[in-house]
Amino acid sequence: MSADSELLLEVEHLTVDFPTDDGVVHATRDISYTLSRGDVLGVVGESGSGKSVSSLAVMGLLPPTARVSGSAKFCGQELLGSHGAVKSLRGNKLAMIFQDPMTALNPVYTVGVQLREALRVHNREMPKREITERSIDALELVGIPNPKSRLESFPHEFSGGMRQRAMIAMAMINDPDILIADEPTTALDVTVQAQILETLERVQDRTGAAIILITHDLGVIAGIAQRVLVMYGGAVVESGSVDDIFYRTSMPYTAGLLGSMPGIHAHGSRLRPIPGSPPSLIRMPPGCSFGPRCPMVTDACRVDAPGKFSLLGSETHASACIRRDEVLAMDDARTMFAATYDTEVVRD
Amino acid sequence: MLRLIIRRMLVAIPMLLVCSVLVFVLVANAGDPLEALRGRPNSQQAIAQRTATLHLNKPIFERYWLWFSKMLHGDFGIDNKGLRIGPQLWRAMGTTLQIVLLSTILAVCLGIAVGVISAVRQYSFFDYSATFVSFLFYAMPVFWFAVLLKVFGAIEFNNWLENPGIGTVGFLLIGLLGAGFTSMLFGFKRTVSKRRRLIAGIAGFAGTVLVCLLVDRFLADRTYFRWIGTVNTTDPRFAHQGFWPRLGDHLGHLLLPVTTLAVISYAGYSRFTRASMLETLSADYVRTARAKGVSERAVIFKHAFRTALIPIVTVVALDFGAIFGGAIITETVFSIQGMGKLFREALQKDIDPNKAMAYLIVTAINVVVFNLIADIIYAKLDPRIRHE
Amino acid sequence: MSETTDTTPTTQDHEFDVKARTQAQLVVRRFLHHRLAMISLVVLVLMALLAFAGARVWGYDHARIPQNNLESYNAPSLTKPAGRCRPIETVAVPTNTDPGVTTTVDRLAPAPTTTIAGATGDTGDWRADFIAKYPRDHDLSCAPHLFGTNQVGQDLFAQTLRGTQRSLLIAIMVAIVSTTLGVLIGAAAGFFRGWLDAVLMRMTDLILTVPYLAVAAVLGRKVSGDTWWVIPLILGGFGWMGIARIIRGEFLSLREKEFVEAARASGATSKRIIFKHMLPNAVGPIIVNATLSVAGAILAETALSFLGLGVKSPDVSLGSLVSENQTAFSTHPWLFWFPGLFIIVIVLCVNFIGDGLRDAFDPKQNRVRA
Ligand SMILES: Nc1ncnc2c1ncn2[C@@H]1O[C@H](COP(=O)(O)OP(=O)(O)OP(=O)(O)O)[C@@H](O)[C@H]1O
Ligand code: SF4
Ligand SMILES: [Mg+2]
Repeated sequence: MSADSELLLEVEHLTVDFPTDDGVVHATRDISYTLSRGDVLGVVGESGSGKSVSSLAVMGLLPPTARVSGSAKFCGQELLGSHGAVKSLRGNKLAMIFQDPMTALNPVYTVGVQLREALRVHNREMPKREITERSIDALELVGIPNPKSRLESFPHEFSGGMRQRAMIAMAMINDPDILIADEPTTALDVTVQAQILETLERVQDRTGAAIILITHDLGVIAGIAQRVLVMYGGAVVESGSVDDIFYRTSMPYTAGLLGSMPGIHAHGSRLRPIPGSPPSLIRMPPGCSFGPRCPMVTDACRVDAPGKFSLLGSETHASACIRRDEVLAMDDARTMFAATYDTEVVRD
Repeated sequence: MLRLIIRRMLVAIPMLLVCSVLVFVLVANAGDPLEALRGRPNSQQAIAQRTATLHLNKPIFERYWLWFSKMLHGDFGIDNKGLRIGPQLWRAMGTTLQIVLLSTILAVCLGIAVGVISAVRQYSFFDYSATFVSFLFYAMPVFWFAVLLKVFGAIEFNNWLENPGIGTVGFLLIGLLGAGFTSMLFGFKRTVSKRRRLIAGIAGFAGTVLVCLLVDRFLADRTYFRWIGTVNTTDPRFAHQGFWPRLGDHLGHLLLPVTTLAVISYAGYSRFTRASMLETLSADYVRTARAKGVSERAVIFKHAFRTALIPIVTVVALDFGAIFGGAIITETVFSIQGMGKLFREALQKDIDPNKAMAYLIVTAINVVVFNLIADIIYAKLDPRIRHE
Repeated sequence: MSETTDTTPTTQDHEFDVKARTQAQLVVRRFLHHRLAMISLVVLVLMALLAFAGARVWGYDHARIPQNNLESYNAPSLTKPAGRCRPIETVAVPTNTDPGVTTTVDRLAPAPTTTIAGATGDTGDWRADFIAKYPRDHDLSCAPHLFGTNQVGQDLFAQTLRGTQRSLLIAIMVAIVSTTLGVLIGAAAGFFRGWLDAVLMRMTDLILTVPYLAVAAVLGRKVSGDTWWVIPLILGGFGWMGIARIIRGEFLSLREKEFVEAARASGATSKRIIFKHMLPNAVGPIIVNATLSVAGAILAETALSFLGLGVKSPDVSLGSLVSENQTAFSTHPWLFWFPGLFIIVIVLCVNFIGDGLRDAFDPKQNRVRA
């Protein structure tokens, strides 16, 4: 798929803060990654780990209260800041679809109106007929039957899966180079999820767009991504190829995520969520942010701010854990949580 | 659409029937129509006569039936003075409807405009001042405001019209308003820099002051008619003049009562519009529109505003009863011969049941009709209802 | 058997209590941080204190009418009123020996003896004469007429305080009546749905078709001086529709929540579900709307007073004060300004508090500083 590796997106030191009444929320800290044409980049992490915020920042869709620093370049053009080029690229070269298809479409306009709008804002001179034709094609591409008559339907006449397809059609109608899909399947039931993922893959095959796929679900990632960012507490804590993440895990948090995946269990058959809860983004724990929940935590973790993102073996595999080599050396890193989990049970 | 209207009517008509029964019982028990007569000497004959016309010696449901069957033919009976109520009622209703409609339109337009700007520029100076003004209006007793308006808005303004001119303070104030307006107009988008806004403001100030100077020169040595009326809806001096002077006079008289009524509902509408806009502005589909690359202006008006309008219609509809209630007070302060006046006449020492009933039932019908219109608008705005 | 069915809800209730308590703490904290609402609360409490405690110690009574005509339409002033209340009083004191003698008398000191002994007048006592001329309540009060006086010389400040008492009392009663009715009706409609919902909502629509003020005016005709408490019953009895609609909506959505389903599954009665599980979760909108209805009630009472209904003289409410004095506006503006400003300040404060409460209760609101 990624035959030509033209660099599309280059994100460096992306940091987003929200000043609130309770203090400054550090929603994302110092995120860097690159994306090439044809790539599928998976982003995983628990709820609140800053997955959406980091991608909304790239799209320039954060509320005006957000303070964004760092850089995000699309084909060399800076996207961030008041002079950023994101305005003209949004919806055209960069497209995004969201988690909840039930609310992502405007209830008072027909799907056709909203689809045509996406096309028209970037193609002012396009004749009406062509706009309609391309709208029909777009619906057809995502597998909506009777696309012509469906253009006149209102969103509430569509099922959830169909709405998400319509969203994908809307995002892809201008042939974007990058599609950011923010948990496109979370709100849908399982069979529909698979269909939507399949639709995404098909669309990517046809257009060759790069996709950033945000999800809770490592299973989804395993299916279609080539590279993965694991996020925790607003920062990237491990990144690498799918194989790196799944078979050469080098960060306890990733191991925990893998352990909580349904289907492939280390031992036994119970789903094991990582004990504890995500850190406060206002007052971060000192040292490693995963420290309070980490079974391998040592004193050094609390003092030394790890974060020093160091490469391991291969050039693309990096981890923020200071004991990464030990984790990497483990047979099955997922087992490290077993002890914690058991003590948890005993304490109950 | 027609189906919807018919369905709503099918609900409204029985509701009006029940309403008329309840109101009839209410009025019948609210007082004795003969109270004042009884105290008067030699009133036997008058008492007998009124008892006969009001069927006071018949049981209440028979009385209701007599009233109701006449009312269906548009006959509201006669009042305690022996005059037919019908003609009085229609004249009064015309006047009141004018005031109510004009003030509703004014309040809705102003409230929505201010609410939208407040929401788009949340926590700006405009937002804070508009919010404060709304709260202030919301806290004012209707007639207190009406009396103030009468003194400052009419009497002082009329005095000014007799000897017009713009003082230094006037120049400053109007100039500042102009500055605020232009800088807001140019600075509507968030991205416009502070400096550009400031320049727009200064230009606006200069422009407005210039216009004011011209107007001031024009006004000097002139004197105008005391245009704003505080009593009634017309001035007899205009009775034999042409259409335009009569219209002008009429508007001069409607200005204050309409403003009074509008200001009270304006406060509610602008607050509600702001809240509704804030909600839609942070809705997912607005984010979708932005992600598509739609311009900020189109995002605000085509996506956020269009959807925010839907609940506003409901609020306006719920408010009609209150506006008619407010009209009772406004009409009294400005001595207008409307429905409110009629109603107050009905509540003298001798309650005038026919008149009170006429007011209550006609007002209820008006409110129901307005609500029906609001329902239709609502369905037009919201496809989810339309397709139901 | 009964053991098991009993324990399940209790643990649930317990958990629920803990949750509710922390939630309450959050709300209180958010409210305390709401500056405008806190200022309003302080102002309102001060005004209520002034009205209820201040009126007792203030030098004038709201109803007493002085018998001299010097007090008619006194403008507001910070100095003690002219024409009386001077410790040193020049009084023409008739004596037996010399009817023309005038002497200076300290009115607060013990009666002078020698020079004017055996003074006549109606009672033969100069002091009695003096007091007859300047009756006691005004006589001994050296307080200034802060807000001026009305035509018959009643002190407007005393009246305003009294009016504030009455208005606040009426408004709170209205809020209690309308909130109770609204919550009961809305909860019943939202919980039971079906025909009960339909009937109750049609009833709500029905009452909304006739102007509130008109109904209150018709019903309020019979209210006299000592039945003033009927007013809040009327205003509350016809002012519950807004709250009922809101609570109904709240209940319709709460009904679908898991904890309600769980309670239902564990066999709790409807009454228990409504009062133990759903109502505590609807407490936010209830408190907010009860607060806002206090503000509405003060204005409604004012409107009713304007139509000549409501609190009757010699008792006063803020509404009756402004409406009695409306014609005086151009000549004696203070009579109109002061009670009116009191109304505005009270209603403003109540509304700001309501707004602050809404912000505090609404978990969606994450007020971000710009
Ligand atoms: N406008 C905002 N103001 C303040 N804090 C915000 C704002 N938007 C997001 N946050 C905070 O930023 C953090 C990251 O949020 P984000 O939505 O990126 O999480 P996420 O990883 O996408 O989670 P989920 O899987 O639930 O979508 C959260 O803790 C959130 O509370
Ligand atoms: S740095 Fe320490 S605390 Fe953090 S993940 Fe690694 S071992 Fe755990
Ligand atoms: Mg997210």
